[in-house]
Amino acid sequence: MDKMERHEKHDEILQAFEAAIGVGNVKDNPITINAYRGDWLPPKVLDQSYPPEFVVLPNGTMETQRVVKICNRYKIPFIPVGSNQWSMSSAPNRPNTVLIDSKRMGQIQEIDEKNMYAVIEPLVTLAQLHAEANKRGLYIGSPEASAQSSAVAGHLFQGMWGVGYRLGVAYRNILGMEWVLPNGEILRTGAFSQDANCGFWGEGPGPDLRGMLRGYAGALGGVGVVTKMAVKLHPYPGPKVWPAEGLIPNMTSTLPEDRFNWEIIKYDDLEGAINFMYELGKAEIGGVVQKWPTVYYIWWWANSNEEYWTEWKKRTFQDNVKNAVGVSLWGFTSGKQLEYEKRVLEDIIEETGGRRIKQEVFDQWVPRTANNWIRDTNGSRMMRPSGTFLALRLQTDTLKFSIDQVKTGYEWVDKFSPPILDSDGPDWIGGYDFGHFGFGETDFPVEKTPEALGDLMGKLLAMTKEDLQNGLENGIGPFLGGPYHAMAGPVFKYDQLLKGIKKAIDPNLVSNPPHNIVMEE
Amino acid sequence: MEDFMAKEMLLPKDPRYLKYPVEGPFDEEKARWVAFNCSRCSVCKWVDSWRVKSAKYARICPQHTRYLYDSHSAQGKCDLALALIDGKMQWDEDPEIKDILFQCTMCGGCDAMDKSIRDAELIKMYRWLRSEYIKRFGPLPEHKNMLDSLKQYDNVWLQPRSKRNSWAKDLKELGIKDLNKDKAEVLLFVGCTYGLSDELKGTVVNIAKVLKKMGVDFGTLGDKEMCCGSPPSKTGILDEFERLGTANIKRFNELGVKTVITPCAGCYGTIRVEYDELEEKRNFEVLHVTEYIEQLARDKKIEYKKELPMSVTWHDPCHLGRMSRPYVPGKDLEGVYEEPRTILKSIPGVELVEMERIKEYAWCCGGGGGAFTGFKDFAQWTARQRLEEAKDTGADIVVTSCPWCETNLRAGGIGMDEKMEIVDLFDLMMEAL
Amino acid sequence: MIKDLRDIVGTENVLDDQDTLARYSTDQSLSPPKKPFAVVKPKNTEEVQELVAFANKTLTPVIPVSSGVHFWGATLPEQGGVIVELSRMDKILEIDPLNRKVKVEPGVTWHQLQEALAEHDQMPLNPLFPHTQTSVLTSSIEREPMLIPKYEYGDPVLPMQMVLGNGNLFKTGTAYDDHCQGAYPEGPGIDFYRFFMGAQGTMGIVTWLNIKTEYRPKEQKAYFAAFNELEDAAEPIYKLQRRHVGNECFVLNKFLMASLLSEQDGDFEKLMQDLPPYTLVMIIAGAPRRPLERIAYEEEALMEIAADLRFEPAKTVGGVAGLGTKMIDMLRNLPATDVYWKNRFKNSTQDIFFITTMDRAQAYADIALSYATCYGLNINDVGVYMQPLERGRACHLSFSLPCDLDSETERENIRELYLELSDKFISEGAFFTRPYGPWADMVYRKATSYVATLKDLKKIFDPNNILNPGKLCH
Repeated sequence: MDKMERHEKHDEILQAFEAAIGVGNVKDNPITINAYRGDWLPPKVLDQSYPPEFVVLPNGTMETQRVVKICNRYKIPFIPVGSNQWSMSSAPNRPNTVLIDSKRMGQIQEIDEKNMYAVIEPLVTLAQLHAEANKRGLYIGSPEASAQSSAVAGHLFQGMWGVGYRLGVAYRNILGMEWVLPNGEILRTGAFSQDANCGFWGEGPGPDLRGMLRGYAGALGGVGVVTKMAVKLHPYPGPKVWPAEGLIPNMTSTLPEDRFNWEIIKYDDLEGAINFMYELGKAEIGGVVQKWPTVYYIWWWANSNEEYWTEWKKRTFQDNVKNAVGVSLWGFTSGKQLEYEKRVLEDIIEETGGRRIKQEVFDQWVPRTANNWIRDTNGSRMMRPSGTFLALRLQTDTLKFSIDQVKTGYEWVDKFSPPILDSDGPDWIGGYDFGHFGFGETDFPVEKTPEALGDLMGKLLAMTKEDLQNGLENGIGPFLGGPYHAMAGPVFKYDQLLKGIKKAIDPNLVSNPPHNIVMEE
Repeated sequence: MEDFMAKEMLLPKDPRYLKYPVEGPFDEEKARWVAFNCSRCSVCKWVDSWRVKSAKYARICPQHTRYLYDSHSAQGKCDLALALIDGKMQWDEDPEIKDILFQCTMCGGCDAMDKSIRDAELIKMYRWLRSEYIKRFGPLPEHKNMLDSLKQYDNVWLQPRSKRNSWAKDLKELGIKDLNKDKAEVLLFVGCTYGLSDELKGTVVNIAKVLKKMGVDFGTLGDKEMCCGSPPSKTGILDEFERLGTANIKRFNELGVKTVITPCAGCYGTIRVEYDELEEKRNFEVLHVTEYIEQLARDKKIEYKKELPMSVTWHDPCHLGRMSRPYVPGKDLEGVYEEPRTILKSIPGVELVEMERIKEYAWCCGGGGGAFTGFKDFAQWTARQRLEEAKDTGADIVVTSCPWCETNLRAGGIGMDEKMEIVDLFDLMMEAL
Repeated sequence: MIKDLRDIVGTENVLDDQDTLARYSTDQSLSPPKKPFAVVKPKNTEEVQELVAFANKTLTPVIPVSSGVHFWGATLPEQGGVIVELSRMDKILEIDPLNRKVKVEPGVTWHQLQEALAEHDQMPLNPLFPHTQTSVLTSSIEREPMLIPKYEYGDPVLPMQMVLGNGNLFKTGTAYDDHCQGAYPEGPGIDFYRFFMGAQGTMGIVTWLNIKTEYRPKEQKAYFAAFNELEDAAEPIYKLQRRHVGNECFVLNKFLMASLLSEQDGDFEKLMQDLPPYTLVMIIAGAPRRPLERIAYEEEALMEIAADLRFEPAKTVGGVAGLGTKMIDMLRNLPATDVYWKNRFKNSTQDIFFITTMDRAQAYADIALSYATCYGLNINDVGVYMQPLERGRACHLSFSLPCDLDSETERENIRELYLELSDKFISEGAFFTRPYGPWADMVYRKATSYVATLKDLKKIFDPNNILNPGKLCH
């Protein structure tokens, strides 16, 4: 296998792992490691990754701790993965890497229905958790990575699910955690710090060490392995079983009309749409409030490549959903709440000069697609039309600021087209915490070829550097992890702090270097 | 800046992104296309998120669920295919390649889930991988008996041809036509397993009786019936599949058969879908017996004599379901889902309770793809998962209509504390009739 | 040293007279006196930075203080040092009604902020009737619970600026990027802001903070429900929160209710007689649009739940006239009385508070009252406050032990009770997320790995351990 560089003590290390977690739970053969050498981003296409040297499947915190200690002993890097899907950082970028796969850690350890939280292991998917929560009248969001992704990983990375508008997003959804630090120590946070079986609260004790783990895009495996997490569940007025009709790929989903309602309201410009979003937040109505770019509508709607490009060329969505805001109203309290919110919505639409999109487009899109923003964002479909997608310009701040973000996004998209493909001015703006903040992102299709992606990655890097020179963070940077923080840190004055933390908890630099900050000279 | 209409549309250069190339043989280029466009999203490992009803029954891929490493998943196989095609790995580099490629039951679970998010044909890619493996290393020793049997006897069970029709030996009074000599509207294609298995023969007898009761004008090919070619097709022995398939098409066409009905899900999927890959083209329609009978059940033309007060759960055979239609990107993954259910509901007293994973997202019985003969342990493990799921419905019995499903589910149930009875749909019907 | 301090903040802003030092040596807690060397009053961030630089140079502890009153011993110097009194920095720097946030300096009080925000139809998310001198900034970063569980969808704390223990200026969240508007707390890089919350000033001196604000309702109704036991109140709250009913929602026992409602002599005793053991206070508030319609459907849901669980939402409890109006008025216009309401019975209450789930609250209440009895307290004289958090998924539970700080015997008695009860609560699973004073040892002894990591972090942010040393595990 190409780029395979074996550690001089390979056999000794293998034996150590086998002793620690059992023969059969560690593999080093070509076929196995080949399945872990890539992720969805350009490193795979651009062939920049190494195969891992070992893939290990520890079961639980203690076995994970043993694995991490072995890595420290031999000073070999490890990468923890949950579902390992869409991972930004799980492609080993240096030789002798140990891939810690959570496949044996897939239990929902506890669901406390009354106190609305679940304790989960890293492989538990959002769909699994969703299904169990729904049975109990509860709910958890799912981000664009889709509901077949790991719930733990989703909480550690972005996690801007749609219903975060009302219920909060990932960074606020984490309760107690059990976590193997890169140095091999087990850290329990929140209520788990006092009782390993009791994770109902996340903060403290005292200063909150969960701070090490996230940041907008997470630590990308650079601060150890979370082996257990308590997450919040939320009240849900929906049915116990997710309603879906039809067959793959043409399923539709309609939630009970006495408690849920979708609207898509259009404006002449982005400012109008954002103003509408502000008014919704101020009025405290809505469950999901999202201004999707045109590409989002068709990405999630199209059921084949031909359908995608045929419809794209027809301009069905371009001509109808530009500057439109999708609003899902939820009757949390009762059907009367839904009716109330509908009335308020009408007031706001009228005041702000909004208008509904054409009924035929609404009927074409909503039953097939809208509820993805409630359960399973199904972001994998974003790969369909051209093999992959990328993002530039992401930032979370005020809704108003998001306008600036996406408008700069238009400029850069223009500059980088090609290889960026037709995307009709991608401008995704999500409303969160009842409009307290907004999130702007620019996503677009790009053809999955080494040439296109190499070209674009080069341009993205140049754009990032230029932004930093102007004291700007465009948001895509944190997704690049360590190398970005090494550049941005000095600009925004956090590099020494981050390096200090990394050095303290990862003295041997074994936790997915170069994340979460480059330490090597 | 925002006047996007004025700009020329920037479309992908590769026409395959504009329209997936369904037509034509599935070759290395197609295999590479499917593998390359895997985005590691993991839908191939899990039931479609909209269909997950519990944490326990959220998986779709038996091989990945059992063996855990991603190399066992569709995503891992895509990575493998890409590495082999691009020369980054060698076919003989790792002995585990045999297990990775051949343990899979070819159930199409990953294939179906994958189709929810992209245009691709994973099962065809596996078939191609298997055939490439066999080109280099020959058929697996575990499948050698099957191949020898086909070559010698035109069936997979090492049974002499004369035994093929032994199920009908006591049915002379039914007056089943021999289509080698007579004419009928419908050819009942029995299949190797139903025809030759002592355990399952009774089901074919019941099917024949049911058809007769319905007044269906049908016949069989008796001991001249040849294997449909499904086992060699699934195990990558494509030349043998081609031989059998071509011979069958020619024969049925020559006999002027207009409708072929079969009780075997494997035969059904193969004849209906895979035969279209062959040069010889069929002039007949292919239906599963349940499709044929369902209409009669809907029109309430079936007169049941007995009530069967029981709750049953229906297991969807893969080749009767998601693997039973040619792939048209964007089109529903249709299959014979409703017909057996309609029949079950028509039987007085029977209450149908569904498992969580059904229809195009059903969990495999474990018996397909050569796993039944080649990887018994895994096949039976898979079956046990399904039986657990069936038990959790609270149903009294599992009903299905596929000889591989029935056999493997029964085998998987051996040793389980509370065994579920596996009953063929037609056996159940016959009991009520 | 005094000269150096005067050079930084000006002579008039350095206090080292005995009265001042005595005042800062004690607080409302039972901590023994701990005397600082001096009290300094910087006027801006630059002066704070200079003070921290001085502290590093001379290895002098500095203890940041924002509020004018302190309850938990967090601001008493463990190792001597200089009190950095931030009350001169008392500006509301920015009110942003569009994005519903406000930027405040440390000296801004809840009363001050509430009044300022009212002009914009906004309100802060204050804790339970804070003292007039309580700093908004301190309350917020010390994670004092808010009264409205439904607004827990996201961190109320937004970006902040602080002077780190190493003297560097640092901004969290999107404040680090001057182009942003300071609305999002995460970043840069990681969630630094979390390290400064619950930190008792040991990681940095926060010089301004953004927090969320919400719409100040113009229409609202107050409901009260009487219960004999805490557990009887828990179930209705679970149901109400689950159905997103109501804004403010909290439970006070009669001791605290009586303390709150007493206005003149004789009131307290009468209220103690008339009030039920526990009162659930619920405010159903209208939104900016169609306020009465929202009130109507939430009210309907409240009555449904009440009928189902057989409790009675009423306009008052204990026959208190005009209670609804009074409560709403107190919530929207924080009372600014001479005597802090909790100190009406005796001149202090010693609060033991922690996080738990509501279904366990009764068990803790039973423990508290039984221990109180053993220490000779009248169980009616123990305050109980249950604040549902985050739609009722947990609660802040607080027990108030009244104590005459002027009586040495009583101090000693209550102190022993306080310690024993706290220890017992911890052993029964109570989570002291804010480990003040003696709780720090009790909590951290069970969390050795947490301590080790916290110490590592401390070395990064405050390498010379000059920021409030001796607190938490430092």
